[in-house]
Amino acid sequence: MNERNIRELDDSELDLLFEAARDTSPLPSPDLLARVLAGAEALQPGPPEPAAPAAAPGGRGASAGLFAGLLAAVGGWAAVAGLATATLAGVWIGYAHPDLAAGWAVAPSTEVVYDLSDFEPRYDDFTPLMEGS
Amino acid sequence: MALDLDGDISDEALLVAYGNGDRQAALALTTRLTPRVLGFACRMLGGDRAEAEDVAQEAMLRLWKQAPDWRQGEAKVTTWLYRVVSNLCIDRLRRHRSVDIDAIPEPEDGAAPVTERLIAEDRARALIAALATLPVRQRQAVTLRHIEGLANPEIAEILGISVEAVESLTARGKRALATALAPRREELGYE
Repeated sequence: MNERNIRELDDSELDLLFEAARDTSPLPSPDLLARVLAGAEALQPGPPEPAAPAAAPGGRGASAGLFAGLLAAVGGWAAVAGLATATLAGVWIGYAHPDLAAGWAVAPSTEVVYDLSDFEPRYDDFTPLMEGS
Repeated sequence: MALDLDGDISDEALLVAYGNGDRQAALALTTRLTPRVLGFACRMLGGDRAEAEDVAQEAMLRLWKQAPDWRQGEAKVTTWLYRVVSNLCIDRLRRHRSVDIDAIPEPEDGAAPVTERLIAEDRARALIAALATLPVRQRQAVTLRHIEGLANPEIAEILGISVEAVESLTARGKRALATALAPRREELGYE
C-alpha cells in the first residue's frame, strides 16, 4: 500500500481503540494496595478519644476492656492493619482474578500421602556426612 | 462504617470518615480509587507499569495527607486526584525527557490474534504507543476524555484551562492519533 494512500482511522475505529484501552486497564497488584493502605494507616488521624471506662463490671468499661484485651491479644493495631491488608488482598484477587482463586480452590490435597515413617531419621540421611568425613 | 466497594457512599463522605479515624473508609477508598489512579498514570507514562505504580502510591499518599484539611463541596475527590496524578506524571516525563516507546511491547506479526482479549491488548498497546507521541497536554486531554470518560468541564478543572481549550486539545489529539495509527490499520484488525 502506498503510504500516501493510507487512510486515517475514523472516529468509530478510534473509539474501538479507546474501548480496548479501558477493557485492558491495569489492575493494581496486592502489593501496591498493601503499600497504599500502609500509607493510610500511617497518616490517619487518631479516632476521637473514648470516654473514660466505668469501673462497674458488665458496664461500658468492661466491654471496652474486653475489646482492648482482644486487640492486645492479636498484636495491637499494627496486626489488625496487617489482617485488613491480607483480607483486602484476598478480596481483590477474588474480584480481579477469580480464575486464579478457583485454581487454588480445586488444588488436589490428597494425591500425596505421607506415612509417619517418612519423617523418621534413617541411616541414608547420614551417609553423605559419613562419606565426607 | 461498613466496607463500601460498590460506591453507595460518596468518595467525599469516605474521605471525611477517614479523616475522622474510620479505618474501613481507608479500605474502601483504596479499592475504589487506586485502580483509576493507576490506569490513568500508566497511560500517561506510555505503559510503564513500575513508574505508574510509584505515581499511584504517591497520589494516594497525598490524598491521605489532605484528608484532615479537605474542604467539602469544593472539588470532587477524583478531580483532585486526577490533577495530582497529572502533575506527578508531567514531572516524571520531564525528568526522563521522553517515554521509551521501544519499551512498549509491540503486537506480534504474522498469525492473527486468536481471541478478542488478544485483539484488545494489541489495540491498547498500539494506542498507548501512539499517545506517547502526542504533546503532553493533548495526551492528558484525550486520555481523560476518551478513556477515563470524564466530561469536558471536569477536564478543564483538572488541567486548569478553559472548556474550549479542552475541546481544541482533544480534537487535535484525536486527529494526530488517527494519522499516527493509519499505517497500522491492518494489524489493528481494520480494513
